[in-house]
Amino acid sequence: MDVNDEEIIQGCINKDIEYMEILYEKYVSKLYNCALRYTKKVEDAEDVLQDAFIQIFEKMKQYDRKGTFAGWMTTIVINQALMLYRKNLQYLKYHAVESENEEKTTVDIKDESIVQSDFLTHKILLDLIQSLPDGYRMVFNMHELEGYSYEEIAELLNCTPSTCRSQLFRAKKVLQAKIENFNKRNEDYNRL
Amino acid sequence: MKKYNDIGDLFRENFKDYSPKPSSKVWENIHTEVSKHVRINYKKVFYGATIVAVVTGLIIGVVYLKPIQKEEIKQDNTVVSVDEKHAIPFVVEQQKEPVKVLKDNAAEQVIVVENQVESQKTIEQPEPIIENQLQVQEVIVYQDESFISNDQQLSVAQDLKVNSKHESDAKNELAIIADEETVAKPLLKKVVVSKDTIVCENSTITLFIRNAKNIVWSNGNTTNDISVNVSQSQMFSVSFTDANGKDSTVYVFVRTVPCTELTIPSAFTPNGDGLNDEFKVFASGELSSFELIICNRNMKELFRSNSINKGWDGVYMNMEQPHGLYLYIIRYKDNFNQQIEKRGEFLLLRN
Repeated sequence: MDVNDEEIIQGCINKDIEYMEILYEKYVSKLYNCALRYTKKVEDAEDVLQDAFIQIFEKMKQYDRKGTFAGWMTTIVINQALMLYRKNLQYLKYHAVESENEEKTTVDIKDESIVQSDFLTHKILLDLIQSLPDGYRMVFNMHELEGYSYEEIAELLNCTPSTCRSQLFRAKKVLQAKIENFNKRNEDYNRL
Repeated sequence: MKKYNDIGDLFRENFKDYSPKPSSKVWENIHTEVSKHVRINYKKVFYGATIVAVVTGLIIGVVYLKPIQKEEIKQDNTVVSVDEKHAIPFVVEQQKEPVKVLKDNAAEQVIVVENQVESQKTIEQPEPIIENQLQVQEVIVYQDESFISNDQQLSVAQDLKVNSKHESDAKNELAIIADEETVAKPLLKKVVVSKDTIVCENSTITLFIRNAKNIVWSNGNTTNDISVNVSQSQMFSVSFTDANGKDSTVYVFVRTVPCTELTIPSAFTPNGDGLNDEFKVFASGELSSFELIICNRNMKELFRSNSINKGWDGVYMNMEQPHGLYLYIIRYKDNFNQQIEKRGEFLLLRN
Protein backbone atom coordinates (compact mmCIF):
# COMPACT_ATOMS: atom_id res chain seq x y z
CA MET A 1 0.00 0.00 0.00
CA ASP A 2 2.03 2.90 -1.26
CA VAL A 3 0.04 6.09 -0.96
CA ASN A 4 1.58 9.51 -1.24
CA ASP A 5 1.65 11.61 1.93
CA GLU A 6 -0.01 14.51 0.10
CA GLU A 7 -2.92 12.27 -0.92
CA ILE A 8 -3.31 11.10 2.65
CA ILE A 9 -3.27 14.69 3.95
CA GLN A 10 -5.96 15.72 1.49
CA GLY A 11 -8.00 12.65 2.36
CA CYS A 12 -7.75 13.40 6.05
CA ILE A 13 -8.74 17.06 5.53
CA ASN A 14 -11.85 15.78 3.73
CA LYS A 15 -12.53 13.57 6.77
CA ASP A 16 -12.24 10.43 4.69
CA ILE A 17 -12.01 7.59 7.19
CA GLU A 18 -10.20 5.31 4.72
CA TYR A 19 -7.30 7.74 4.33
CA MET A 20 -7.20 8.14 8.10
CA GLU A 21 -6.73 4.40 8.44
CA ILE A 22 -3.97 4.43 5.81
CA LEU A 23 -2.22 7.19 7.73
CA TYR A 24 -2.62 5.26 10.97
CA GLU A 25 -1.21 2.06 9.49
CA LYS A 26 1.70 3.89 7.91
CA TYR A 27 2.90 5.88 10.90
CA VAL A 28 1.54 4.15 13.98
CA SER A 29 4.68 2.20 14.89
CA LYS A 30 6.90 5.25 14.50
CA LEU A 31 4.67 7.38 16.70
CA TYR A 32 4.08 4.58 19.20
CA ASN A 33 7.85 4.24 19.53
CA CYS A 34 7.90 7.92 20.48
CA ALA A 35 4.88 7.73 22.79
CA LEU A 36 6.34 4.76 24.67
CA ARG A 37 9.57 6.61 25.36
CA TYR A 38 7.82 9.65 26.82
CA THR A 39 5.50 7.81 29.18
CA LYS A 40 5.76 5.57 32.20
CA LYS A 41 3.45 2.76 31.19
CA VAL A 42 2.14 1.08 28.05
CA GLU A 43 -1.38 2.22 28.99
CA ASP A 44 -0.26 5.85 29.18
CA ALA A 45 1.56 5.53 25.86
CA GLU A 46 -1.55 4.17 24.18
CA ASP A 47 -3.63 7.00 25.63
CA VAL A 48 -1.14 9.56 24.37
CA LEU A 49 -1.02 7.92 20.96
CA GLN A 50 -4.80 7.85 20.73
CA ASP A 51 -5.18 11.52 21.69
CA ALA A 52 -2.35 12.46 19.34
CA PHE A 53 -4.01 10.77 16.37
CA ILE A 54 -7.31 12.47 17.10
CA GLN A 55 -5.44 15.79 17.25
CA ILE A 56 -3.64 14.99 13.99
CA PHE A 57 -6.91 14.27 12.19
CA GLU A 58 -8.53 17.41 13.59
CA LYS A 59 -5.64 19.76 12.90
CA MET A 60 -4.64 18.37 9.53
CA LYS A 61 -5.60 21.69 7.90
CA GLN A 62 -3.05 23.51 10.05
CA TYR A 63 -0.11 21.45 8.75
CA ASP A 64 2.06 24.11 7.08
CA ARG A 65 4.38 21.67 5.18
CA LYS A 66 7.49 23.33 6.59
CA GLY A 67 9.06 20.27 8.19
CA THR A 68 8.57 16.63 7.34
CA PHE A 69 5.12 15.20 7.81
CA ALA A 70 6.41 12.55 10.23
CA GLY A 71 8.21 15.25 12.20
CA TRP A 72 5.04 17.29 12.50
CA MET A 73 3.13 14.30 13.81
CA THR A 74 5.94 13.44 16.24
CA THR A 75 5.69 16.97 17.63
CA ILE A 76 2.00 16.43 18.29
CA VAL A 77 2.74 13.17 20.10
CA ILE A 78 5.37 14.93 22.21
CA ASN A 79 2.93 17.73 22.99
CA GLN A 80 0.35 15.19 24.13
CA ALA A 81 2.98 13.49 26.28
CA LEU A 82 3.91 16.87 27.75
CA MET A 83 0.27 17.50 28.61
CA LEU A 84 0.21 14.23 30.51
CA TYR A 85 3.49 15.18 32.18
CA ARG A 86 2.09 18.52 33.35
CA LYS A 87 -1.04 16.74 34.56
CA ASN A 88 1.12 14.44 36.67
CA LEU A 89 3.32 17.28 37.88
CA GLN A 90 1.81 17.28 41.35
CA TYR A 91 2.84 13.66 41.79
CA LEU A 92 6.22 14.50 40.36
CA LYS A 93 7.22 16.37 43.50
CA TYR A 94 7.05 13.09 45.40
CA HIS A 95 9.19 11.41 42.77
CA ALA A 96 11.67 14.25 42.71
CA VAL A 97 12.40 13.77 46.40
CA GLU A 98 12.72 10.08 45.82
CA SER A 99 15.12 10.46 42.92
CA GLU A 100 17.35 12.77 44.92
CA ASN A 101 17.85 9.97 47.38
CA GLU A 102 18.67 7.62 44.54
CA GLU A 103 21.30 9.92 43.17
CA LYS A 104 23.52 9.67 46.21
CA THR A 105 23.76 5.93 45.80
CA THR A 106 24.69 5.97 42.11
CA VAL A 107 28.33 5.36 41.37
CA ASP A 108 30.33 7.99 39.57
CA ILE A 109 31.25 6.76 36.15
CA LYS A 110 33.81 8.89 34.44
CA ASP A 111 34.04 6.86 31.26
CA GLU A 112 31.23 7.90 28.93
CA SER A 113 31.57 4.87 26.68
CA ILE A 114 29.15 2.03 27.14
CA VAL A 115 28.92 -1.54 25.99
CA GLN A 116 25.64 -3.05 24.90
CA SER A 117 25.45 -6.72 25.65
CA ASP A 118 23.16 -9.05 23.75
CA PHE A 119 20.85 -9.16 26.71
CA LEU A 120 19.85 -5.52 26.32
CA THR A 121 16.90 -5.82 24.03
CA HIS A 122 14.55 -3.01 23.04
CA LYS A 123 12.14 -4.09 25.74
CA ILE A 124 14.73 -3.63 28.47
CA LEU A 125 16.07 -0.36 27.10
CA LEU A 126 12.50 0.90 26.99
CA ASP A 127 11.92 -0.24 30.55
CA LEU A 128 15.03 1.66 31.58
CA ILE A 129 13.75 4.88 29.98
CA GLN A 130 10.28 4.39 31.43
CA SER A 131 11.67 3.82 34.91
CA LEU A 132 13.42 7.21 34.87
CA PRO A 133 11.79 10.00 36.89
CA ASP A 134 9.37 11.96 34.69
CA GLY A 135 11.52 15.07 34.33
CA TYR A 136 14.67 13.13 33.49
CA ARG A 137 12.81 11.09 30.91
CA MET A 138 11.41 14.15 29.17
CA VAL A 139 14.77 15.88 28.94
CA PHE A 140 16.66 12.75 27.93
CA ASN A 141 14.20 11.90 25.16
CA MET A 142 13.96 15.43 23.84
CA HIS A 143 17.66 16.13 23.78
CA GLU A 144 19.22 12.78 22.99
CA LEU A 145 16.61 11.20 20.74
CA GLU A 146 14.69 14.09 19.21
CA GLY A 147 17.58 16.54 19.13
CA TYR A 148 15.88 19.50 20.80
CA SER A 149 18.15 22.22 22.13
CA TYR A 150 18.33 23.02 25.83
CA GLU A 151 16.57 26.34 25.19
CA GLU A 152 13.65 24.68 23.43
CA ILE A 153 13.28 22.08 26.19
CA ALA A 154 13.45 24.78 28.86
CA GLU A 155 10.60 26.62 27.19
CA LEU A 156 8.45 23.51 26.91
CA LEU A 157 9.12 22.25 30.43
CA ASN A 158 8.97 25.72 31.96
CA CYS A 159 12.41 25.60 33.56
CA THR A 160 15.87 27.07 32.91
CA PRO A 161 18.30 25.63 30.34
CA SER A 162 20.83 24.92 33.07
CA THR A 163 18.27 22.81 34.96
CA CYS A 164 17.69 20.84 31.77
CA ARG A 165 21.40 20.30 31.36
CA SER A 166 21.85 18.98 34.87
CA GLN A 167 18.77 16.81 34.60
CA LEU A 168 20.05 15.31 31.36
CA PHE A 169 23.42 14.64 32.99
CA ARG A 170 21.77 12.86 35.89
CA ALA A 171 19.46 10.90 33.61
CA LYS A 172 22.43 9.68 31.62
CA LYS A 173 24.22 8.70 34.79
CA VAL A 174 21.28 6.72 36.09
CA LEU A 175 20.91 4.91 32.76
CA GLN A 176 24.61 4.22 32.51
CA ALA A 177 24.75 2.84 36.03
CA LYS A 178 21.84 0.54 35.30
CA ILE A 179 23.32 -0.73 32.05
CA GLU A 180 26.69 -1.27 33.70
CA ASN A 181 24.90 -3.24 36.37
CA PHE A 182 23.27 -5.42 33.72
CA ASN A 183 26.56 -5.97 31.98
CA LYS A 184 28.18 -6.95 35.25
CA ARG A 185 25.49 -9.48 35.99
CA ASN A 186 25.91 -10.89 32.52
CA GLU A 187 29.67 -11.14 32.91
CA ASP A 188 29.32 -12.88 36.25
CA TYR A 189 27.34 -15.57 34.54
CA ASN A 190 29.73 -15.87 31.68
CA ARG A 191 32.50 -16.55 34.14
CA LEU A 192 30.67 -19.48 35.71
CA MET B 1 28.22 -6.90 22.03
CA LYS B 2 28.49 -3.41 20.69
CA LYS B 3 30.38 -0.46 22.04
CA TYR B 4 29.10 3.11 22.02
CA ASN B 5 30.90 6.31 22.90
CA ASP B 6 27.87 7.82 24.59
CA ILE B 7 24.76 6.47 26.18
CA GLY B 8 22.70 8.74 23.96
CA ASP B 9 24.21 7.04 20.90
CA LEU B 10 23.20 3.66 22.27
CA PHE B 11 19.58 4.68 22.69
CA ARG B 12 19.48 6.62 19.41
CA GLU B 13 20.84 3.64 17.50
CA ASN B 14 18.48 1.17 19.15
CA PHE B 15 15.30 3.18 18.85
CA LYS B 16 15.85 4.29 15.26
CA ASP B 17 14.35 1.15 13.79
CA TYR B 18 12.25 0.13 16.75
CA SER B 19 8.67 -0.25 15.56
CA PRO B 20 6.36 -1.57 18.23
CA LYS B 21 2.69 -2.16 17.57
CA PRO B 22 0.06 -0.83 19.97
CA SER B 23 -3.01 -2.89 20.77
CA SER B 24 -5.88 -2.83 18.28
CA LYS B 25 -7.95 -1.04 20.93
CA VAL B 26 -6.17 2.23 20.08
CA TRP B 27 -7.41 2.34 16.49
CA GLU B 28 -10.89 1.30 17.57
CA ASN B 29 -11.02 4.22 20.01
CA ILE B 30 -9.67 6.66 17.42
CA HIS B 31 -12.14 5.35 14.87
CA THR B 32 -15.13 5.88 17.15
CA GLU B 33 -13.86 9.31 18.22
CA VAL B 34 -13.25 10.47 14.65
CA SER B 35 -16.48 9.06 13.27
CA LYS B 36 -18.34 10.93 16.03
CA HIS B 37 -17.34 14.21 14.35
CA VAL B 38 -18.36 12.89 10.96
CA ARG B 39 -21.71 11.80 12.31
CA ILE B 40 -22.50 15.23 13.76
CA ASN B 41 -23.92 16.32 10.39
CA TYR B 42 -26.30 13.39 10.33
CA LYS B 43 -27.18 14.19 13.90
CA LYS B 44 -27.98 17.79 12.98
CA VAL B 45 -30.27 16.54 10.20
CA PHE B 46 -31.84 14.13 12.62
CA TYR B 47 -32.40 16.83 15.23
CA GLY B 48 -33.83 19.14 12.55
CA ALA B 49 -36.23 16.46 11.41
CA THR B 50 -37.35 15.74 14.96
CA ILE B 51 -37.88 19.45 15.64
CA VAL B 52 -39.99 19.80 12.46
CA ALA B 53 -41.97 16.69 13.42
CA VAL B 54 -42.58 18.01 16.93
CA VAL B 55 -43.67 21.42 15.61
CA THR B 56 -46.11 19.92 13.08
CA GLY B 57 -47.37 17.61 15.77
CA LEU B 58 -47.99 20.58 18.02
CA ILE B 59 -49.80 22.49 15.26
CA ILE B 60 -52.01 19.52 14.49
CA GLY B 61 -52.59 19.00 18.15
CA VAL B 62 -53.58 22.65 18.64
CA VAL B 63 -55.92 22.59 15.65
CA TYR B 64 -57.70 19.43 16.78
CA LEU B 65 -57.67 20.27 20.45
CA LYS B 66 -59.15 23.75 19.99
CA PRO B 67 -62.84 22.60 19.95
CA ILE B 68 -62.27 20.65 23.14
CA GLN B 69 -60.60 23.64 24.73
CA LYS B 70 -63.55 25.78 23.65
CA GLU B 71 -65.91 23.37 25.36
CA GLU B 72 -63.84 23.67 28.46
CA ILE B 73 -63.97 27.44 28.18
CA LYS B 74 -67.77 27.26 27.80
CA GLN B 75 -67.94 25.22 30.92
CA ASP B 76 -65.87 27.86 32.65
CA ASN B 77 -68.25 30.51 31.36
CA THR B 78 -71.24 28.68 32.75
CA VAL B 79 -69.58 28.46 36.08
CA VAL B 80 -68.87 32.14 35.98
CA SER B 81 -72.37 32.88 34.79
CA VAL B 82 -73.77 30.89 37.69
CA ASP B 83 -71.87 33.15 39.99
CA GLU B 84 -73.08 36.14 38.01
CA LYS B 85 -76.63 34.86 38.14
CA HIS B 86 -76.34 34.57 41.85
CA ALA B 87 -74.93 37.98 42.03
CA ILE B 88 -77.11 39.60 39.43
CA PRO B 89 -80.50 38.39 40.70
CA PHE B 90 -79.47 39.53 44.12
CA VAL B 91 -78.74 42.93 42.76
CA VAL B 92 -81.75 42.88 40.51
CA GLU B 93 -84.03 42.03 43.43
CA GLN B 94 -82.53 44.84 45.36
CA GLN B 95 -82.87 47.03 42.33
CA LYS B 96 -86.50 46.01 42.06
CA GLU B 97 -87.17 47.05 45.61
CA PRO B 98 -85.86 50.56 45.12
CA VAL B 99 -87.85 50.64 41.90
CA LYS B 100 -90.95 49.88 43.94
CA VAL B 101 -89.87 52.51 46.36
CA LEU B 102 -89.33 54.80 43.45
CA LYS B 103 -92.90 54.38 42.40
CA ASP B 104 -94.22 54.94 45.93
CA ASN B 105 -91.99 57.72 47.13
CA ALA B 106 -91.36 61.27 45.98
CA ALA B 107 -89.02 62.29 43.17
CA GLU B 108 -86.61 63.96 45.57
CA GLN B 109 -86.27 60.80 47.53
CA VAL B 110 -85.77 58.88 44.34
CA ILE B 111 -82.42 60.42 43.77
CA VAL B 112 -81.43 59.61 47.31
CA VAL B 113 -82.73 56.07 46.96
CA GLU B 114 -81.11 55.74 43.61
CA ASN B 115 -77.96 56.93 45.24
CA GLN B 116 -78.55 54.47 48.00
CA VAL B 117 -79.17 51.81 45.39
CA GLU B 118 -76.03 52.82 43.64
CA SER B 119 -74.24 52.74 46.94
CA GLN B 120 -75.87 49.42 47.68
CA LYS B 121 -74.83 48.27 44.28
CA THR B 122 -71.34 49.35 44.87
CA ILE B 123 -71.29 47.85 48.32
CA GLU B 124 -73.24 44.68 47.68
CA GLN B 125 -71.80 43.75 44.34
CA PRO B 126 -68.27 43.38 45.51
CA GLU B 127 -69.26 41.50 48.65
CA PRO B 128 -69.90 38.06 47.19
CA ILE B 129 -66.85 38.39 45.04
CA ILE B 130 -64.77 39.25 48.04
CA GLU B 131 -66.31 36.39 49.95
CA ASN B 132 -65.56 34.07 47.07
CA GLN B 133 -62.08 35.39 46.86
CA LEU B 134 -61.73 34.96 50.57
CA GLN B 135 -63.04 31.44 50.36
CA VAL B 136 -60.71 30.73 47.51
CA GLN B 137 -57.87 32.28 49.37
CA GLU B 138 -58.77 30.29 52.41
CA VAL B 139 -58.83 27.15 50.33
CA ILE B 140 -55.53 28.10 48.87
CA VAL B 141 -54.21 28.78 52.31
CA TYR B 142 -55.42 25.44 53.48
CA GLN B 143 -53.89 23.83 50.46
CA ASP B 144 -50.67 25.65 51.19
CA GLU B 145 -50.84 24.53 54.77
CA SER B 146 -51.40 20.99 53.71
CA PHE B 147 -48.54 21.34 51.25
CA ILE B 148 -46.36 22.80 53.90
CA SER B 149 -47.28 20.10 56.32
CA ASN B 150 -46.58 17.53 53.63
CA ASP B 151 -43.29 19.20 52.85
CA GLN B 152 -42.44 19.34 56.48
CA GLN B 153 -43.28 15.70 56.79
CA LEU B 154 -41.20 14.97 53.73
CA SER B 155 -38.31 17.02 54.92
CA VAL B 156 -38.49 15.40 58.31
CA ALA B 157 -38.51 12.02 56.66
CA GLN B 158 -35.59 13.05 54.46
CA ASP B 159 -33.72 14.31 57.49
CA LEU B 160 -34.28 10.99 59.14
CA LYS B 161 -33.08 9.24 56.04
CA VAL B 162 -30.06 11.50 55.80
CA ASN B 163 -29.28 10.87 59.42
CA SER B 164 -29.59 7.15 58.97
CA LYS B 165 -27.50 7.46 55.81
CA HIS B 166 -24.83 9.34 57.70
CA GLU B 167 -24.88 6.67 60.31
CA SER B 168 -24.62 3.91 57.74
CA ASP B 169 -21.85 5.84 55.93
CA ALA B 170 -20.00 6.22 59.16
CA LYS B 171 -20.42 2.51 59.76
CA ASN B 172 -19.17 1.77 56.24
CA GLU B 173 -16.20 4.02 56.76
CA LEU B 174 -15.41 2.27 59.98
CA ALA B 175 -15.75 -1.03 58.20
CA ILE B 176 -13.47 0.18 55.39
CA ILE B 177 -10.91 1.42 57.87
CA ALA B 178 -11.11 -1.88 59.68
CA ASP B 179 -10.68 -3.69 56.35
CA GLU B 180 -7.74 -1.53 55.42
CA GLU B 181 -6.10 -2.22 58.71
CA THR B 182 -6.53 -5.92 58.34
CA VAL B 183 -5.49 -5.87 54.67
CA ALA B 184 -2.64 -3.40 55.04
CA LYS B 185 -0.69 -5.54 57.49
CA PRO B 186 0.12 -8.46 55.16
CA LEU B 187 0.76 -6.04 52.26
CA LEU B 188 3.54 -4.29 54.11
CA LYS B 189 5.66 -7.38 53.57
CA LYS B 190 8.54 -6.92 51.24
CA VAL B 191 8.12 -8.04 47.65
CA VAL B 192 10.03 -11.22 46.93
CA VAL B 193 11.03 -12.21 43.42
CA SER B 194 12.93 -15.18 42.03
CA LYS B 195 16.67 -14.71 42.02
CA ASP B 196 18.84 -14.95 38.95
CA THR B 197 19.27 -18.59 38.14
CA ILE B 198 21.22 -21.00 36.01
CA VAL B 199 19.39 -23.91 34.50
CA CYS B 200 19.99 -26.68 32.03
CA GLU B 201 19.18 -26.04 28.41
CA ASN B 202 15.59 -26.84 27.41
CA SER B 203 14.46 -27.19 30.96
CA THR B 204 11.30 -25.84 32.52
CA ILE B 205 11.71 -23.41 35.36
CA THR B 206 9.20 -21.76 37.68
CA LEU B 207 9.67 -18.09 38.49
CA PHE B 208 7.69 -16.51 41.29
CA ILE B 209 6.81 -13.19 42.88
CA ARG B 210 5.20 -12.67 46.27
CA ASN B 211 3.45 -9.80 48.09
CA ALA B 212 2.88 -7.74 44.96
CA LYS B 213 -0.12 -6.50 43.04
CA ASN B 214 -0.73 -5.81 39.33
CA ILE B 215 1.86 -8.36 38.30
CA VAL B 216 2.80 -8.47 34.63
CA TRP B 217 5.55 -10.80 33.47
CA SER B 218 7.44 -10.17 30.27
CA ASN B 219 5.66 -13.12 28.66
CA GLY B 220 2.30 -11.49 29.41
CA ASN B 221 1.29 -13.65 32.36
CA THR B 222 -0.27 -11.96 35.37
CA THR B 223 -0.07 -14.79 37.87
CA ASN B 224 2.20 -15.06 40.90
CA ASP B 225 4.10 -17.98 39.44
CA ILE B 226 5.06 -18.58 35.86
CA SER B 227 6.39 -21.76 34.39
CA VAL B 228 8.65 -21.21 31.41
CA ASN B 229 10.64 -23.43 29.14
CA VAL B 230 14.10 -21.96 28.65
CA SER B 231 15.98 -22.99 25.54
CA GLN B 232 18.61 -20.26 25.74
CA SER B 233 19.80 -17.61 28.15
CA GLN B 234 17.06 -15.10 28.67
CA MET B 235 16.07 -12.19 30.83
CA PHE B 236 12.58 -12.10 32.28
CA SER B 237 11.07 -8.93 33.62
CA VAL B 238 8.18 -8.54 35.98
CA SER B 239 6.43 -5.26 36.68
CA PHE B 240 4.34 -4.94 39.80
CA THR B 241 2.94 -2.55 42.39
CA ASP B 242 4.26 -2.92 45.89
CA ALA B 243 2.51 -2.32 49.22
CA ASN B 244 3.32 1.40 49.09
CA GLY B 245 1.68 1.67 45.67
CA LYS B 246 4.92 2.21 43.80
CA ASP B 247 5.28 0.64 40.38
CA SER B 248 8.55 -1.03 39.63
CA THR B 249 10.10 -3.58 37.35
CA VAL B 250 12.49 -6.32 38.35
CA TYR B 251 14.62 -8.41 36.03
CA VAL B 252 15.43 -12.06 36.47
CA PHE B 253 18.34 -13.46 34.53
CA VAL B 254 17.91 -17.05 33.55
CA ARG B 255 21.12 -18.38 32.13
CA THR B 256 21.19 -21.75 30.46
CA VAL B 257 24.17 -24.03 30.35
CA PRO B 258 24.71 -27.32 28.54
CA CYS B 259 23.95 -29.81 31.27
CA THR B 260 25.34 -33.22 31.93
CA GLU B 261 22.75 -35.76 30.99
CA LEU B 262 23.21 -39.47 31.16
CA THR B 263 21.56 -41.92 28.80
CA ILE B 264 21.34 -45.29 30.46
CA PRO B 265 20.20 -48.22 28.33
CA SER B 266 17.64 -50.60 29.76
CA ALA B 267 19.06 -53.76 28.17
CA PHE B 268 22.07 -55.16 26.26
CA THR B 269 22.91 -58.28 24.26
CA PRO B 270 26.49 -59.64 24.71
CA ASN B 271 26.35 -62.01 21.72
CA GLY B 272 29.23 -60.60 19.70
CA ASP B 273 27.15 -59.24 16.80
CA GLY B 274 28.59 -55.77 17.21
CA LEU B 275 25.32 -54.29 18.43
CA ASN B 276 24.93 -53.42 22.11
CA ASP B 277 27.52 -55.97 23.18
CA GLU B 278 28.45 -53.90 26.24
CA PHE B 279 26.43 -52.19 28.95
CA LYS B 280 27.68 -48.66 28.56
CA VAL B 281 26.46 -45.27 29.74
CA PHE B 282 26.39 -42.31 27.39
CA ALA B 283 26.78 -38.76 28.65
CA SER B 284 26.30 -35.32 27.14
CA GLY B 285 28.26 -32.47 28.65
CA GLU B 286 31.14 -32.64 31.05
CA LEU B 287 31.78 -35.15 33.81
CA SER B 288 34.47 -34.50 36.39
CA SER B 289 34.26 -37.92 38.03
CA PHE B 290 32.48 -41.13 37.11
CA GLU B 291 31.89 -44.48 38.75
CA LEU B 292 29.80 -47.39 37.46
CA ILE B 293 29.06 -50.41 39.65
CA ILE B 294 27.06 -53.39 38.41
CA CYS B 295 25.57 -55.94 40.77
CA ASN B 296 23.48 -59.03 40.36
CA ARG B 297 20.17 -59.45 42.12
CA ASN B 298 21.92 -60.66 45.27
CA MET B 299 23.77 -57.33 45.40
CA LYS B 300 27.05 -59.04 44.65
CA GLU B 301 29.38 -56.65 42.86
CA LEU B 302 30.25 -57.96 39.38
CA PHE B 303 31.85 -54.97 37.70
CA ARG B 304 33.30 -51.57 38.55
CA SER B 305 34.52 -48.88 36.16
CA ASN B 306 35.85 -45.36 36.59
CA SER B 307 35.68 -44.43 32.93
CA ILE B 308 32.55 -43.67 31.04
CA ASN B 309 34.06 -45.20 27.91
CA LYS B 310 34.49 -48.59 29.48
CA GLY B 311 31.41 -50.81 29.62
CA TRP B 312 30.55 -54.29 30.93
CA ASP B 313 30.57 -57.17 28.48
CA GLY B 314 28.49 -59.52 30.64
CA VAL B 315 31.49 -61.50 31.94
CA TYR B 316 32.43 -61.91 35.61
CA MET B 317 35.50 -63.96 36.63
CA ASN B 318 35.70 -65.30 33.06
CA MET B 319 32.18 -66.61 33.37
CA GLU B 320 29.39 -65.44 31.14
CA GLN B 321 26.59 -64.24 33.34
CA PRO B 322 23.13 -65.64 32.74
CA HIS B 323 20.12 -64.00 31.15
CA GLY B 324 18.32 -61.81 33.65
CA LEU B 325 17.93 -58.58 35.54
CA TYR B 326 20.97 -56.74 36.90
CA LEU B 327 21.36 -53.59 38.92
CA TYR B 328 23.58 -50.57 38.40
CA ILE B 329 24.80 -47.73 40.59
CA ILE B 330 26.26 -44.69 38.88
CA ARG B 331 27.98 -41.90 40.81
CA TYR B 332 29.23 -38.84 38.99
CA LYS B 333 29.84 -35.12 39.32
CA ASP B 334 28.08 -32.91 36.80
CA ASN B 335 29.25 -29.58 35.42
CA PHE B 336 28.03 -27.79 38.55
CA ASN B 337 30.40 -30.11 40.51
CA GLN B 338 27.42 -31.69 42.11
CA GLN B 339 27.64 -35.33 43.24
CA ILE B 340 24.81 -37.33 41.75
CA GLU B 341 23.97 -40.96 42.35
CA LYS B 342 21.64 -42.95 40.16
CA ARG B 343 20.40 -46.45 40.75
CA GLY B 344 18.43 -48.61 38.37
CA GLU B 345 18.10 -51.96 36.65
CA PHE B 346 18.74 -53.36 33.20
CA LEU B 347 18.32 -56.62 31.37
CA LEU B 348 21.03 -58.95 30.09
CA LEU B 349 19.52 -60.72 27.13
CA ARG B 350 20.79 -64.06 25.78
CA ASN B 351 19.17 -66.26 23.21
